[in-house]
Amino acid sequence: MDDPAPSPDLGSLEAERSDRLLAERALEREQAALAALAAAGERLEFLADASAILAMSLEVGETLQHLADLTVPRLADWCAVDMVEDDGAIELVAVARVDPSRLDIVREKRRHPVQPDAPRGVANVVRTGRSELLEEMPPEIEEVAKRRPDLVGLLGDLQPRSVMTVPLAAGGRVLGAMTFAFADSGRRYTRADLTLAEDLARRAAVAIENARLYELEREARREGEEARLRLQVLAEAGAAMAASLEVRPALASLTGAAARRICDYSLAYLLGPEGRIVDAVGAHRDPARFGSVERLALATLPDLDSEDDLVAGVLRTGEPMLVPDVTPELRDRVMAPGEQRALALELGFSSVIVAPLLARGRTLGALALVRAGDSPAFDEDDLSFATALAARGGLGVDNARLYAEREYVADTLQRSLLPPVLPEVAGLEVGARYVPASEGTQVGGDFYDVFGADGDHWIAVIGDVVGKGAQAAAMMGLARYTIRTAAIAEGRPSAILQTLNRGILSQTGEQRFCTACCVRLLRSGYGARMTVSVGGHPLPLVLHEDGSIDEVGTPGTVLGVFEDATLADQVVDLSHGDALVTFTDGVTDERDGGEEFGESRLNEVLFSLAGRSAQQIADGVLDAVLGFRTGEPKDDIAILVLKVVP
Amino acid sequence: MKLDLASRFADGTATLELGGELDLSTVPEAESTLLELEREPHLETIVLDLRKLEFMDSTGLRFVLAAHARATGSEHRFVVIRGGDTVDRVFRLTLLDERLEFADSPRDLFGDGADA
Repeated sequence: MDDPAPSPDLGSLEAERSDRLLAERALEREQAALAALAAAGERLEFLADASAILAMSLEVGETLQHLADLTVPRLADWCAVDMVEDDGAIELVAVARVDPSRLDIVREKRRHPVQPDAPRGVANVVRTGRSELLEEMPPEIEEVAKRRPDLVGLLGDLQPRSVMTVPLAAGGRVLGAMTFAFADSGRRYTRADLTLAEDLARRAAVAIENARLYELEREARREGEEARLRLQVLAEAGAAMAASLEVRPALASLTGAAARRICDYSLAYLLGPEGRIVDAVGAHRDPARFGSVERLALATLPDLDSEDDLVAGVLRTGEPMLVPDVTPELRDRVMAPGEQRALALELGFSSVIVAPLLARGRTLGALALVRAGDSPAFDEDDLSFATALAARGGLGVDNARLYAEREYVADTLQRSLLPPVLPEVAGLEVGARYVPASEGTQVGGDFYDVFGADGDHWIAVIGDVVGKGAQAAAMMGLARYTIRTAAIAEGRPSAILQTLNRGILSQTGEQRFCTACCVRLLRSGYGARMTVSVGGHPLPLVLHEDGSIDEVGTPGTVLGVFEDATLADQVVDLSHGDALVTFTDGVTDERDGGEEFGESRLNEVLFSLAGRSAQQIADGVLDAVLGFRTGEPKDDIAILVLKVVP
Repeated sequence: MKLDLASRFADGTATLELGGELDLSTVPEAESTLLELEREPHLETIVLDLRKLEFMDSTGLRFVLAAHARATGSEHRFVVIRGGDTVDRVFRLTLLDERLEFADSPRDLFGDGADA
């Protein structure tokens, strides 16, 4: 007390205390952040394993078994997967346990079918589409256990102590449920575990749904093949082209069948969408002369405006034509001088039939049959046979085209479900997360893409298509395709978005629109120069290493509504360590009861993620948004992060 | 929380008042109510009153744009009575605040030349 040393004044003591307090808090925050990071890393690894399993094209049951195996013991002591059958029954399809020798016990327990009206458990989750989390088994279950000692005996150490059941839901349907249980390990499930389980189940459900679509597609193909087999009974020749599902091979089968049965050689011409001949194939009875016929077919494609051309005449009238005896004058008139005329002379051209390839009232092309040299001239019987053959040919071409369209639609839908594989970019980290909305009533939704443009430029785009049904899905395809194409011709992101605006407007139909943020980026010595344009989309954020955050870009008109969209470009220089965070409104609009996640929460989360990798930032934002919500996400959520690294 | 709807028609003006949340789950209800209202004979002006709306997502925006497109097609005046900041932000973000006709209250609607 008597110490002569100057006593510290109260102010500096206060300051020291608050400094220490701040330091302690910072340490706590740091530790919490590290723990969260470790947990996030573990989850990420887990989900990566799961995605790898789901990406393997296995049969559904096998995939689910692999998935169940993966969850044990990391996420469960035992895991069961139930699927809803076509008749509504709930069937156990996969089960995994820490000690695989006792799997039969889990199966035994479930030998009795799940009661669909049960108030709890798998039936309830399947019925409501909502997850269940039982952190502790409630006492009444213990009561049941006491009344049913047979069950307890049966379960033994499998008796669940903490259980979560999550729906396998995709495209608005609940396909089944996954049950995770902790038993003798004594662990307890938390909300974070539930989020992870839901994320896993959502991925699994999308994969199952894709597999199911693929099965449907294969079934449709099988049915198509059966129909064509019936055609084979009608006309052997007609079936030959059916083996192929592509237009050109189908025509090759047609000409091949004709050349074997009715003529010396045959040519088929295909009309394109613009009403011009776009392709031709040919076949000869003698395989050694195949090449000559192919060359004859392709040397000069018929000019549809020509008065002389036989094929042009048939295509104009839609009526078959028979020329029993071709005079040398006619031959020279219909064959173009040069290679074609020389080949016709070499192959012979003495009698000819041309018949239209018809399907569903449209002329798709023409089939020409030619006899040469000593072969007898064609007669009326040959003409009717050729007409029937050409009709089969028309169906075959039509089928092949329909098949190609279906492939395209299936492919578009699938691509709209699956985010693209992001490229490796030197000096840039790319991280992304995407969670589709739980309610599948609106096909379409969020999309993102990153690709190389001219020179060393990179284009990153994120967007949200708002509309209904297959048209919206198609629009998503349109948006991706348009942006990629526009990026070749246009340097400025605003010009790319203008092209997209016009592209959407040129589509007719249901009211829909799109919001998008397009970024063009060029790496440089100090970091990167970035040009940002935004059309009706939430403005992107730049997260600096020190945790400070800048909003970038200028609000622009929503795309696909007005002819004259107002779109601006803003140039922003990024330094090493800066991360551009783009996202869709699913992030900010996600709600807990009446309150939305909002920009302030997003900023808080980003602050805590400063200095992390691009993928960690995307993961951290998604975890925060999913952890915030009470129900299932109502809107798609997409996050795309680009971080400049040395 | 759900969507509250109140509609009225007087002197050629159809007004739809929206309160609560306009999103994927509530848009169909708003859509059918508005379509009903648009069938009124002698309709001249359609007013969407968003003052009591607490939340609107992009599907809600789609509803407004579809209504605007219908109104433009049938040459009706289309006015949005501005909502709170959360709702207004959606219009600002999409630059629709520059493209649609907005008013702060129903009284401002006929301000041109008339008494306030």
